[in-house]
Amino acid sequence: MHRASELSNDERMEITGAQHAAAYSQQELQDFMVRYQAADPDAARALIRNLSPALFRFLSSQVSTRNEAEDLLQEAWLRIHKARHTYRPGEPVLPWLYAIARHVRVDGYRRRQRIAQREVAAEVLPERRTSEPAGSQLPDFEVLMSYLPDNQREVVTLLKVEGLSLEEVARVTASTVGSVKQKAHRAYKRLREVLTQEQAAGNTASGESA
Amino acid sequence: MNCSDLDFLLHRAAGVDTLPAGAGAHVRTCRRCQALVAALNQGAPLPSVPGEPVPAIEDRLLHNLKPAHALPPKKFFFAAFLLIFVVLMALGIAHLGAFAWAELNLMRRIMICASLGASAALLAYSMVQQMFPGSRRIVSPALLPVGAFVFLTLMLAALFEVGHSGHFIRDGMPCFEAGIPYAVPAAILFWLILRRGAMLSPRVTGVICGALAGLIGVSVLEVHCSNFDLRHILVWHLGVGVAGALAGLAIGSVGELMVRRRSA
Repeated sequence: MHRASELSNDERMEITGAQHAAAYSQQELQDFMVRYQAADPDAARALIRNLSPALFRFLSSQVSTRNEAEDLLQEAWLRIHKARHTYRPGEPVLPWLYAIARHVRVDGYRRRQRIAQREVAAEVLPERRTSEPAGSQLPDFEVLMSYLPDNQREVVTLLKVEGLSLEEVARVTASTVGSVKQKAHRAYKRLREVLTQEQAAGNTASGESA
Repeated sequence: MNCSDLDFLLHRAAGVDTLPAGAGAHVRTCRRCQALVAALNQGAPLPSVPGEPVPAIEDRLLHNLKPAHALPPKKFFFAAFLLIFVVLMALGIAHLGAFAWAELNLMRRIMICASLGASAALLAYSMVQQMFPGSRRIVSPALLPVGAFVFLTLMLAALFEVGHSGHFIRDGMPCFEAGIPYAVPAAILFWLILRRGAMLSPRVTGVICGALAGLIGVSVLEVHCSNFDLRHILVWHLGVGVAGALAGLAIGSVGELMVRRRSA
C-alpha cells in the first residue's frame, strides 16, 4: 500500500471519498497551505488537484448540471485564493476551505433561485433518481439525503461523506458543536423513519409478487 | 442503549465494528439501526472532475502567484476592537460628563460595567471569528447580538424601575442623539479592521459590528445620563445599540448583494 506522500498527484485524484482526508494528513495539508501563502506553485497545485474532487462533490450536491458545479468549483477556488491570507498556520485546513466553499454554494443556490423566478425553464433537466438501483436493498445515499431539509442534509453530508468531525462541521457551518449534534440527531431520526417505510413498502411489494 | 442513544454515536461510526460495545450490540439486534448505519456508510462516490476545470483553475490561480502574508493572531484583532471600544467610550464620557456615575450605587456600577463589558467582549470575539473562515464558535454569530440585547434588557430591568419622567420623547431624543455620534466612528474603525479578513457573511458581520459600535453609545449614556426611568433607559439608551445593529444589518445586506452581483 502506498504511503500518502509517495502518491503522485494523478494517483491522488483517483482516491475515493472517504479516503481523501487520509491521502494527505492534517499536517501535510497545513504545510501545503503555508507554502501556498508563500507563493509556492507546487503546493498550490497539489492542493487544487487533491481537494478539487471532494470540493466538486460538495458543490454539486445542490446543482442540477455538471457545468454549474464546474462553475462553482472555479468560483470556490478563486475565493479561496483571495482569502488565503486568512488561513492561520496551525489551524485545520479543511474547515477553513469548506467554510468558503459553503458560501459559494449558498450564493450559487440563491442566484439560481433568483434566475428561476424570472425565467421559464428552456429545457427539462434529467430528474434525479428517486428509487434505489435494481438489486440494492438500500436507497441510494443521494436519494436518502433528499428526504432531509437542507441544513440537516448539509451536516450529514459533511459528517458521513466528507469525513469531517463534529468540531470541523461546526466550524464549516459557523455554528456550535451542540447545534451540529442536534441537526445530525434529527436527521438520523428522520432517516430511520424513511428506511422503515422503505422496508415496509419492499416487504409489501415482495409479498404481492409472491 | 436504544435507537435514540445511538444517534449521538452515529456521526463517527464507519461501521458496526467501530461503534462502542453497547452500541454495536444494539445495532446487531435492531434492524432499523442496521439499515441506517449501512445506508449512511455507503457514502457518495467521489466524482471525477472533468479535465477542463482543474487546469483552468491552476492557470488562473498560479498565474502571477504572489505571497500572501497570514493575518496576525486573532487576539491581536480582539485587542484592537476592545481598544477602540474603550477609547471611544472614554472620549464620550470625557466629552459628555459622568453625571449618572456619581448617582449610581456600587452594586449598580458593578452590574452595569460587567454586563456591558461581557456583551462587548463577546461581540468583539464574534467579530474576530467572522474575519477568519472556519473559526470555532462558542455562540451562534447570528444569535449573539440578539442574545446580548436580551441579556442587557433583563439586566437593566433588574437594576432600574419604571419611573415618571415628564416627557418621554422630548427627554429621550437628546440622549439618543448624543449616543449615535460615538457609534458611527466606531463602526467605521471596526470596518477598516474587518475588511482585512474574509467576511463570508457581510450581513451577519454587519449586525455584530453595528451592535458593538452601538454599545459604545449605550455605555456612554449609561455613565452620562442621570434619568433612571427604566423605559427611558431601554428605549433611548439601549435603542442606540439596536439602531446600530439594524444599520449594520442594512449595510451588510447591501454589501452581500453587491458581492453576489459581482460574482454572478
